[in-house]
Amino acid sequence: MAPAPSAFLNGVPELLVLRLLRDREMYGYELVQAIREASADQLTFAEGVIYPLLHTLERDGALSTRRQTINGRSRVYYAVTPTGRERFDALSAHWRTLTGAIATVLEAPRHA
Amino acid sequence: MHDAFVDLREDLLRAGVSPRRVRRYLRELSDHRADLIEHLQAQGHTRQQAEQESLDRLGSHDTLLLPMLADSRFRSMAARWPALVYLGLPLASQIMLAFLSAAALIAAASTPLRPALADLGSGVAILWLAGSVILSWAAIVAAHRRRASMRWPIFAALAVSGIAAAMNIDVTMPIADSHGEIILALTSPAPLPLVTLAALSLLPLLFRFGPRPTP
Repeated sequence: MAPAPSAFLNGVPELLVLRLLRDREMYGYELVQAIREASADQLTFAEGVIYPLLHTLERDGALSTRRQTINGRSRVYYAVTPTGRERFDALSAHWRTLTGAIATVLEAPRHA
Repeated sequence: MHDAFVDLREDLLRAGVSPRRVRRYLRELSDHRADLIEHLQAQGHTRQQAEQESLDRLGSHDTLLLPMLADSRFRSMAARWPALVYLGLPLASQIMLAFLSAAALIAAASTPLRPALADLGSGVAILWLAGSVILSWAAIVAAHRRRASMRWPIFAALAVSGIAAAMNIDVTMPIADSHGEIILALTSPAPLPLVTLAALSLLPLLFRFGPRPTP
């Protein structure tokens, strides 16, 4: 049976957002589509929760914003700041350590 | 499009999230929903299906509400310190207005405006009264915008009216050898001006700026 759609896991959204915005600035809808695309639709979540996360990261200084009106819609474009890049590097290293540790546990022989 | 998020807006404001933050969040959600509807219609959904699907994909009311409440930095200053913002600020502003206008009057005494000092004194007295009403209205409107309790703005309106009604300014022009005087005094307010001023200050409560019923 296929696993249930993943909940938006703690720490994961931040990592994904910073990773995707590291390449280029995006607005919320664009970012959600980019996450779906990059994860081959494996990471699905309530799309609206991306905005509180973006606002939090902006408040932390990890993201900067600029507004642009396109077709009557005022888009808020988000981009990673140097602080955001540092945060991404730290999160990414932590995530690799974590997945490495989990892989070790999964691959370890089971003892009776 | 904002209509879809009316309840969310009310709940965010009642929880103390700053109005500016709420406005931006709802605008982003509305634009996101519009993009989703366009995308789904392009995929062959009917307008009605696309509208429903877009709401499902954005998330439920609680899903959209709780993350905004989780970050206390999104709360407005007024939500954190209501007494300070709705009572302290109008009071301080009224007192500052009194001192600044009195200082301006004193400064005017050594300028070509000196002959009009008595009229300026009357103007300052009117400014204090008008200022107290404007400050009270500002506190009520600010609390209304934030869906806050009207308790502090009402205290502020009464206190500011009391101070404005109690403040007196008296300008005596110099005659012959005697010096002129500018007297700034706090006296016991006369009941009629006090009641009139308080009623004027609380007037917005009778209209659309009164407290909103909690659903």
